[in-house]
This record gives sequence, structure tokens and C-alpha cells, in this order.
Amino acid sequence: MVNSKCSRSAARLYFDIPCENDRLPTTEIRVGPSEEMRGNPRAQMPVLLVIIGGLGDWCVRRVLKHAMEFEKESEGKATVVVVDIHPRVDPEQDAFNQWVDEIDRWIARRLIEQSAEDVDLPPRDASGRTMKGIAWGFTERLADDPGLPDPTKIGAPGPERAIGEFKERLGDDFIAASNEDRSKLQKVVEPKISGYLADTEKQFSDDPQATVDELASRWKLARNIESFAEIKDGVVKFLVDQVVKVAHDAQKRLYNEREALKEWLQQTVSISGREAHRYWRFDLASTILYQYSSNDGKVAVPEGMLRQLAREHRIIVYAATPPEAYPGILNQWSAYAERIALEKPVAGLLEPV
Amino acid sequence: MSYKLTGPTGAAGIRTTQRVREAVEKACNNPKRVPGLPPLQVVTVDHYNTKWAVPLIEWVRRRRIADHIISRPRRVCIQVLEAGMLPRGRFLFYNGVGGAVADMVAHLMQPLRALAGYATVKEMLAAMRVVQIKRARYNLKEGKDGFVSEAFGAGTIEQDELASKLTKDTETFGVMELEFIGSPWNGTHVYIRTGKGILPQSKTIIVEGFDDDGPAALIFDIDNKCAWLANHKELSTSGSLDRLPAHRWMRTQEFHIPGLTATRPLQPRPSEYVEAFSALCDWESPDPRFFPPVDEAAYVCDFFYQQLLRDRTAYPQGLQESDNNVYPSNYSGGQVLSWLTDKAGW
Repeated sequence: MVNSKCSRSAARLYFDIPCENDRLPTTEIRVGPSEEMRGNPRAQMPVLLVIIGGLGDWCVRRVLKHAMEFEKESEGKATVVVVDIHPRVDPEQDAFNQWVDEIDRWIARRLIEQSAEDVDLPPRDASGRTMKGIAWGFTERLADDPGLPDPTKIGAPGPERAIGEFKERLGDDFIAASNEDRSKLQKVVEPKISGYLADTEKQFSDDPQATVDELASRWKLARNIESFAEIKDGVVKFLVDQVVKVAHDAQKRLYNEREALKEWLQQTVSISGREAHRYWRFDLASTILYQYSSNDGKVAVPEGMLRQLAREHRIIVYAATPPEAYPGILNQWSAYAERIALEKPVAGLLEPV
Repeated sequence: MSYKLTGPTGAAGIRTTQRVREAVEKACNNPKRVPGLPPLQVVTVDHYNTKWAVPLIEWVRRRRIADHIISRPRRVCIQVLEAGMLPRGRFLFYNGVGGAVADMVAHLMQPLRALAGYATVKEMLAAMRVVQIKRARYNLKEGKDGFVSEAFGAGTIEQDELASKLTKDTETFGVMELEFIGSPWNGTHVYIRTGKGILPQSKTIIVEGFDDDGPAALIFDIDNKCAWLANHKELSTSGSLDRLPAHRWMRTQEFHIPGLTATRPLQPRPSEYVEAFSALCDWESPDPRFFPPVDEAAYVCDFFYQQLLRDRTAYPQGLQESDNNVYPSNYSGGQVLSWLTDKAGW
């Protein structure tokens, strides 16, 4: 929850009066009935945060991980449910394991997309600074065929196969990096930097100490180097380590992150003393909200249940969907929610007609 | 409100936010609302407000650390070059006129609002005018297989159609010059360069002004969470702000800005959406500066949309088709942006 001390002190921030706490001031300008509601019993109610568009790019990219963190930090005061609005590939297949299969496919697709964006970026050190590197050509390989393996296509193979295809598309260097095949990578690196190495060798033969001083911090070399061979090994090792890290980061995203998201979305949560799956679905066409019940399978969430939830929880809705969905979401949740927050409104609200 | 476009989008029209505005109004008057609930609040989320730079700017302002620059800057330069490529998963957000540029520029108004000290972006834009815009789209190879639309809305888009949409409707690189025409920064120009698919990634805000010794600048590096004050010596010896020596970059988490006495450390900041969700779920109403109401977001959207629309109408041949606006197909994103900057005469 937000630090209330910060909120109060930050109320004066706009007038340039120093604040005691440097967190982002979030609630300093009071609007509407908020002041009058002090002492309102609803203030003590648990929060139900409803994230809509949960398997969209933005949610998988940024929001869900932070939602997990938010829920954990709230120490039970907030529960997160995720509502998906993508039409099902096959609406007839409605067993929960089929829902889970689709969750996995969408997550895998999103993570492949993100990995493709990241895979040829210059590696960064722990403080986020860009490190020196060489072009491995991953971006060019992807640009040659911009379509990525997509496990959400009808009839597409599963997520594992899509991830495998993605790695194959990045080429042998990437696979070698994934497998930490350092000897193979060394053979690839050396020709790529042969010109640089030749220049450095000449520079070293002219003035060894000055060359080492110049290169030591750049390539993380020891300062007591005595031969050019050591410099060469150090530079090659540095570059090989980089590409191995790039591949490991992609692996981590495609496997660890995928598993964590999948597991979190499959969990059941306790809402008003009842166990319910965290993952819900909203059919925009029929405007019906569905839950999955272990006993009854897919069930429409009755209006009475939502009313009860609204009486027992402060329902906050966050929607990260294309703008076409906003009217449907507003219509569905305005009877029950305290707040509805719309993501990406700026460009997203422009609609072609 | 509807517009008839010429040029790249052919006969396609663009509808603004009217449908969403009507839906918000209807939602706020929903007769089925559960009794006892407080009035419904509908807000928008701009994740740029939870980035480190915005609270830092607020911090610097309220401590009057660089008042000599901030009170009346000579000019403000904002550069946000993102490495991420556009067409993978996100492009449907960037529909219509302006595309990614309109989205990015609207985000960048948040730190600018904090710098200028306005309560809302809407108020700030009322005191600004657009001097010029230069923009370009992806020069994407067409006819590649494998693109699939989001499984939402219009259904699957044919490959050629999608490639065509991306090349024609998604403006990915842009330079924009704005001018304040109202107090407190009347006459100050703001230069914005933004684009996606550019390496190296760079997100910088430079507020240029003067101190007693001559030119000075307050510089924020959004990605690396650094800020520093540069004085005339650094500006004159380096010749360019981009080439200032790296050791001048101070970690402002420690707030050790050269020449300043305020060094109290910042508290570690939570992740962007943890912060946003905390504020949204808090009992007290979210600050409209950071969570603007839909109407305000729509105003910002319309402001840039109409400017971009006018610009596009003025150049109906579009960018890639016109002789005057063709950029070489082998240009990288960074080269396209430099090309645009040259065209703007900066």
C-alpha cells in the first residue's frame, strides 16, 4: 500500500515545499469525496485488483510480474485476478487444462517476441551500462524473416517447439551460446575481431604497458599482463562470456519466467472465503464473464456474486487491452468497481473507422 | 469527430475517443451500481510517471537545486531512442496518424510537465504550440510470411495488408519542435527526437540555461538513472553534451550532484507497476497528475493527433513516396533520425 505519510506530505509538493519522503507522490491532490470518507469502513476492506488483458503483450512484458510482486508485498490485503479477453482458438475446448494450454501458448508467444527484441541488444553490466560487444547478427537473421514462431496459431505446434524454432532461427552461434560451447564460440569470435587484434598487437609491441593500461578496464583484463596472447585470450573470453549471457538471459525468460507466470496464473486464490482460480475470461461479444470451477467446469460469473464481491472488497480494475474493449469493460465493471484505470489511452484511443 | 485523410492512409478515416468518452459517461451513471460504493473513478495510467526521472525532477524542483536553469531554460532537448523493434506484438496500439511517435511524445510530456511545474499536461499544452514536425515510418520489407495479427478485433490480417499497415500507418521515427507561448517558460523551445529500433538506446532530457559563468545544463539520463549539472567549462571543453566525460555522471540515487549540498539518499523505488498499483489500490484518490482522467488523456491525444494530421495533410504524398522525403532504404533507425534532424534544420 502506498505510504500515507508520503501522500500527506506530498500534498504540498506542487507548491515546492520540501517533502519528508522521496517516494513518488501518488495521492496528494484530493479529489471528490475522498476527504469525507475518512473512517469509512470500506477503507479497511481487502482489495481485489482485476487485471484485464492479462495475456496481452503489455501485461506479459511488464504488468504481471509487478502484479505478483504487488500481491506478495500487500501481505494478504490485495488479491489479483487476471481476466483474459482473447477469443479462444477453439471455444468448444473448455476444460481447465485446455485453458492452461492456451495460457502457456500465449505466454510463450509473448516471451519469444520479447526475446527477439532483446537478443541483439548490447549486453549491460550490473549497473545497467552498455558494455562493449560485437554484432552477432541475430537481429539481421530475424529481420530476414520477421515472422516469429507463433504457438497461438490454429494448428500450430506447442510452445516447446516454437521456442526451439526460435532458437534455430537465431542460428548456430546462439545455440552454441545456449549450450555454453565456448570453444566453438571462440572460433567464431576471433575472425570477427581479427583487424582489431592486429592493431592491438602492433600497439602492444610498441608500448606494452600503455596498451595494457588502456585496455584493462575496457576488457576487464588483469594489469600484470605480459604477452599479447594474454590480451587476445582476455578479449575473446570477454566477448564469449557476453554472448553466453545473452543466450542465458533468453533461456531464463523463455523457461523460468514462462513457468513462473504460468504457475501464478493457474493458482487458486481465496476471495471472500471461497477458492477461485486466478484466471478468468471475459467474452466481449456476449459480455459474459467466466470463471473455471473445479466441480462445474466453465461457469458464467453470476451478477449476484459480483455484487457480493463489491460489498466485501474494494474492486480496482486495470485494463490493458486494445481500445475497442474499453466500452465493454466499462459497461461490465462500472457497477462493481471503485476505480477503473485504462492503460495506453494516448495512442490507443485513436480508432480507425 | 471524424477526419478524412489523404496520402498514405488513402480513404481511411480516424475516429477519436468519442466512443470511449461516451462509455465513461455511461459508466459513471450506471443505474445498476451496487449501493454504498463511492462514485466511480475512471483514470488513465501513464507508466512514464512511475519512471525514475519524473520524481527526480519533482525532487530537484522542490529543493530549488537548479532554479537558475529551471526557472527559465534557454531550451529543452528530449531524446528517447528505444532499441525495441515495433512490429512484434505491439503494433496494433500504434494505429492511425502518429503511430508510435504520437504515443512516445505524449509520454514525454510527463517529465516536461514536471520540469515546467504544471499541474496537468493539458494545462501545459494550452501554453504550447507545435513549431514543426518531421517523421518517418518503417521501411519494412513487404511480402514476408509469418505476420499474424493479434487474435482480437478485426481478425487475422493478410500478410501483405499487415506489411502495408506497418509501413504506411506506423510512424516510428519523429522529431518535433515545440514552443512555450505562455508563462513561466514563454519563448522556450522544446526539441524532441524519438524513434524505435535504434541502437544504442538512449533516453536523455537536457535542460539548457545559464549560470553566473555562462552556459549550464541540467541533464537527466532516464535509463541509467543519472542526472548532473554541467557548467560552461564542461560544455566548452567537450564541445558536445553527448561527449561529456563519463565520470561526470553521478548516481542520483545518492543525489551527489556536483556543486550541490543535498546528498540525502533516495529510498529505493519499487517497480513501476507495483508503484502504480499501490496508488490505484490506495484508499485515497489517485493523483490526477500521475493518473490523468480520460478526458485529459484524450485532450493530449487530440493535441498531437491534430498536429500530425495537419502535417500529414500538408504533405499528402507521405514520406517514403515523396521525392523530398525519401530516406535511403539501407538507413538504420539512428540514421533515419539524423536525417530527420537535418531536415528540421536543428
